[in-house]
Amino acid sequence: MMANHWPLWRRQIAAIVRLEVRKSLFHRRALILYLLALAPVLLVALLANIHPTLVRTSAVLDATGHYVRERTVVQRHGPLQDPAVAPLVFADLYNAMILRSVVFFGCVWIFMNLFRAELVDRSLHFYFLAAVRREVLVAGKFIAGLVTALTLFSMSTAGALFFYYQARGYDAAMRDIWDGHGMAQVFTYLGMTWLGCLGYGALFLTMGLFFRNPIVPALVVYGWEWLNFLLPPVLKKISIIHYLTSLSRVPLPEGGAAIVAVPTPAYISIPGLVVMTGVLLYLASRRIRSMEINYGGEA
Amino acid sequence: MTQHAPPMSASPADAASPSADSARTVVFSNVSKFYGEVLGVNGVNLTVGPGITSLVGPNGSGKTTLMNLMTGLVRPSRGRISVLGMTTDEPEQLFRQVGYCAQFDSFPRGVTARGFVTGFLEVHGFRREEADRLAGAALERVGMLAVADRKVASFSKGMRQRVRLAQAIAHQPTLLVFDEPLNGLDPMARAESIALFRALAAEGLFLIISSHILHEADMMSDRVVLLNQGYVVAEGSVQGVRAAMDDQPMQILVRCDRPAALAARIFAQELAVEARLLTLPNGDPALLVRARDADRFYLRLNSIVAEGDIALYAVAPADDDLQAVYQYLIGGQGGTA
Amino acid sequence: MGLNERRYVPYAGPTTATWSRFLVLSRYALRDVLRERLVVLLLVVSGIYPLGAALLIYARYNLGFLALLNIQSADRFLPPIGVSFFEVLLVVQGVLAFFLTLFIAPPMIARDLANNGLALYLCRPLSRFEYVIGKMTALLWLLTCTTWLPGLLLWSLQAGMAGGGWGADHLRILLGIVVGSWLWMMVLALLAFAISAWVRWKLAAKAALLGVFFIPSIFGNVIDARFATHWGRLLNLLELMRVTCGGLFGNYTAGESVVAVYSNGQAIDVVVRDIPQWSAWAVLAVLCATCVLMLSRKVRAYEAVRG
Repeated sequence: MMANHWPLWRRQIAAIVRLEVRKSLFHRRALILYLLALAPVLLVALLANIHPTLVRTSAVLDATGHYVRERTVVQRHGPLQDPAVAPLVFADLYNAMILRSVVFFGCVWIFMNLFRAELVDRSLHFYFLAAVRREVLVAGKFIAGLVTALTLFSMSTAGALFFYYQARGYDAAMRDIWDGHGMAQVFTYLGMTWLGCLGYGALFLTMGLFFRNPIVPALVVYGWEWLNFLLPPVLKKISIIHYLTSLSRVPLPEGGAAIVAVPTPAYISIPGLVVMTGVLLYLASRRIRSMEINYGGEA
Repeated sequence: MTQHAPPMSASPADAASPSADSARTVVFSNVSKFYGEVLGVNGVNLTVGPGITSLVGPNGSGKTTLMNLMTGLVRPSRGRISVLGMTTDEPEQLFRQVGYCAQFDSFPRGVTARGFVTGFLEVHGFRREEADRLAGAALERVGMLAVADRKVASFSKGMRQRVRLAQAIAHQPTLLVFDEPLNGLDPMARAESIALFRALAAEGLFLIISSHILHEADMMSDRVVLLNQGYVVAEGSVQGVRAAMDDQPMQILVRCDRPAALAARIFAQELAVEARLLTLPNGDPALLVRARDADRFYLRLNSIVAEGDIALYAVAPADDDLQAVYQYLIGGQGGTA
Repeated sequence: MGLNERRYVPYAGPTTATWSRFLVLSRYALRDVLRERLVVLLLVVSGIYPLGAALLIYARYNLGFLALLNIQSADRFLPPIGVSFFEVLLVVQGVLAFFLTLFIAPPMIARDLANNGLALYLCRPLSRFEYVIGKMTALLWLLTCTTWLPGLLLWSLQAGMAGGGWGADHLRILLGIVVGSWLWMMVLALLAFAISAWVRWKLAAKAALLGVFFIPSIFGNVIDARFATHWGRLLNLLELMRVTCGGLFGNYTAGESVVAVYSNGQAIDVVVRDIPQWSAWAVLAVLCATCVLMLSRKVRAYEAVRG
C-alpha cells in the first residue's frame, strides 16, 4: 500500500524542490549567500597568490650562547606554497572559514528561513492547502535547502581547494591529486561540507519550526560549537562539529587551551550524523503535522 | 463571556445530526476554537450541504476561523469537523476535493500568475503537462489568462484576488471555500465573480463563501449562516431565517396620506410594538411599523383602510433582506451594508 | 439647489512640538520593546558587570569592608581602578549592547517595512529622518542604560571615593566612556537599522546582523594569522571599537608586536605593526556612511506587495 504512494510523493517533492530552489538560489536575496560562499575562496586565492613580505627578527648569539644583538631579516612568506605546512594551514582555513562560518551561518540562513520566511511572507498556507502530506512537505523543503546549501558550499569548498592546489603549482598539484592523498583529501573536505549541510540543515530547519525566535537557540548552538575545543570529551560528542572534524585527514588545530578528545571513527561519525538528521526531520514532521497557520506577530 | 442564545435553525433537519450524509456535507459538531484567551468560535453545530452557502457576520465574528477550521489551517480546541466524510488532519486526502481561497493577500516571492497556479498544482501531484493545462483553464475561467505570465507582485488587488480564486479552483475540487472573495474587486469583476460562483454551483460543486457585504451574500447564496462574536446565530435561507424569528418584530413600511392617524389606529388595536413617522426622500410621508405578527397586521390594515379616511399608497416589508435579518440578530453591530 | 452646511471643524487644539514629534515614535517603540521578556532579561544581565565594578570600587576605599574580607592591601588583591578598568568595562558592556541591539532593532524597522506600515507613519507630519531618529532614540535609550550611563556612574563613584582631584586628573577616561559609548551605540544602531531595512524580515535581519558581527571577524583573524599582519582587525567590529576607544582613553599606540609564523617548515618570530588609529576611524566612518545610504534608499513610503 505504502509503495503505491512513492511515485506521487516523488513528484510532489520534486515540485516543492523546484519552487523552493528558485526562491533560495535565484532570488535577489540569495546574493548574501553567494557573497558568503565566495569569501573563503577569495581569501584562499589571495593567500595562494600574494606572498606578504615579513620582517623577521631573530637573536644573534655569541659562541657562549649570550645575546649579542637582534637581527632583522626581510622574507617572503607563502604558507600555501610550503608542502610541509600547507595541508595544516588549509585545514585550519577550512575549519575556521568554511565549516564554522560559511556552512554554519549559511545553513542558519537557508534552513531556518525555509518555513519562517513563508510565515513572514504569509504564503505557507498555499502549501498547507495542497493535497500533500505535511511530512512530504518537510522532506521537499529540506531537500530544497540541501540542494541550495550543497551547490553553494560545495563550490565554496571546491574553489578554496582549487586555489590551495594552485599555490603548489600545476605539476605538484597533479602529483598530489593523482599519486598522493590529494584526491582523498578533496573528497574528505567535500564530504565534511556535505555532512555539515546535512546536520546543520536538519537542526536549523527543526529549530525554525519549534522556536518563534530561533536566533536565540542558533546563538547557543554557535557558542556551543565554537567552544567545543574547551569541552570535556563526553560533551564534545554532543555537537555536530566534533563528528565533522573527526573526519578530517589532517588533525585540525584547536589551540593551546583545547582539551583533546579522540576523534570519532568515520564509520560512527557518518552514520551518526545521518541518523541525527533523520531524527531531527522526524521531529520536524511531527511538529508540522500539528502546525496551525497563524501569521500574527511574524515579519 | 457574553451569553448567547443557541443558534436558530431555519430547518432543524439540517442541523448536525448523525443521520446527515456526511460524505456530501461539512459537519461541525460542537466545535470551539480559542486563540489563547480570545474566542474564535464557540459551540458550533452546523451542517453545510451542496449549493452556495454564505457565512455572514461582522469583522471578528468567526467567519475566517470557521473556514480555517474546515480546511485544517487551524485545529479545533474542542469538537469534531468532518468535511465530505474526511477529517481535516489528512490534507493529502482533503485537498483533492477541497479548494480554499484564503483571505491572505500574499504570494510566494517572484512568481507569475501561471507559475503560481502551475507550481501548486504540481505540489498537488499533477504532472507538468496536466498542471499547465489545468492552470490555463483556471486562469481563463477567472479572466486572467491574458496576463498569466506577468509577475503577481505587479497586479492590482483585484487581479491578485482572481489569481487566488484560480489557484483554489484549478485542481477541480468538489467543495470550494472562499474567504471574502469579492474583496478588492471592482463592480464588474464582482458581477463576473458572482456569475462564476453561480456557474460552479450549477455544475454541482458546493461553495462556502464568507462575506460581510450582506446584499452580495443575499444575491448569490442559497443559504446563509449568520455569525456574531464566535457564535452561529442563525442558519438557513434568508426567508427561512426570517420565518424562524417569529418572536422578532418585522418592519413594514406604509405609505399613506395620514401616517399619524394610521399609527394611532394601529396602536389602538395593538398591532405594532413600534411605529415611526418618516418623510421619504421624495417628501412623501410614511409610517414604519414594527409588527410582531405580520400576517395579522396585513389583515387588520385592510379593514383600517376600508374605513375610508386614510388613503393608502403602498405597503412593503422593509426588512425581508439579509441586512434586516442581520440587524435583528446581532443588534446593530453589523458591518457594512 | 440644496444647501450644504459646512459643519466640519478641523482639529485646532495644541499638537506636539515639531522638534520633539519623533519622541512619540520612541515612546511607543520603547513600550513595545520593554514588553519582551528577553530584552528585560538582557537589560538586567547588562547591569551585573557594572554592579560588580561598583562593589570593587567601594571595596577599595572602604577599610572596614576590606577588613571584613580579610584583605590586607587593596593594591595587592584588587585590580587598580584606572584606564584599563574602564576600558574593559566598556568592551564588556559593548558586547552586551550588541546582543541587546540584535534583539531590539530588527523588529522596530523590519516590521514596519514588511507590513507596509511606513506609509502610515509618513502620511503624518513626520519626515523619514524623524522616523529613523524616533526609532533609533528608543534603541539609544536602552543602549545608554547599558554603556555610558553605568560607566559615568562608576567614574563618578571612583572620583568621589578616591577624592584628591582624581576626577580632574582622569577626565580623559570620562571622554573615553562617553564618546566611545556613543560611537559604538551609533555604529550598532545604524548597522542594525540598515540591515533590517534591506532584509525586511525580523529573523533574517537578526541572522544577518549576527553574521556581520561574527563572520568578518573570523576572516579577519585568518588574515592576521596567515598574512602575519594586524590589518585583519579592520574586519572585526569589536576590535575596531577597542582601537578607537583605546585612542579616546589615551591608551592605544600602534606599536609593534612579534607573532610566530610557520614558514618553510619552521616557526619564526615576525614583527607585526599594529593598525593605526585613523584606519579604525576610517572604517567606522565608511561603515556608518554606507548604513545611512542604505537607510535613505529603503526607508521610503511605498507599498511592497508580497509576491
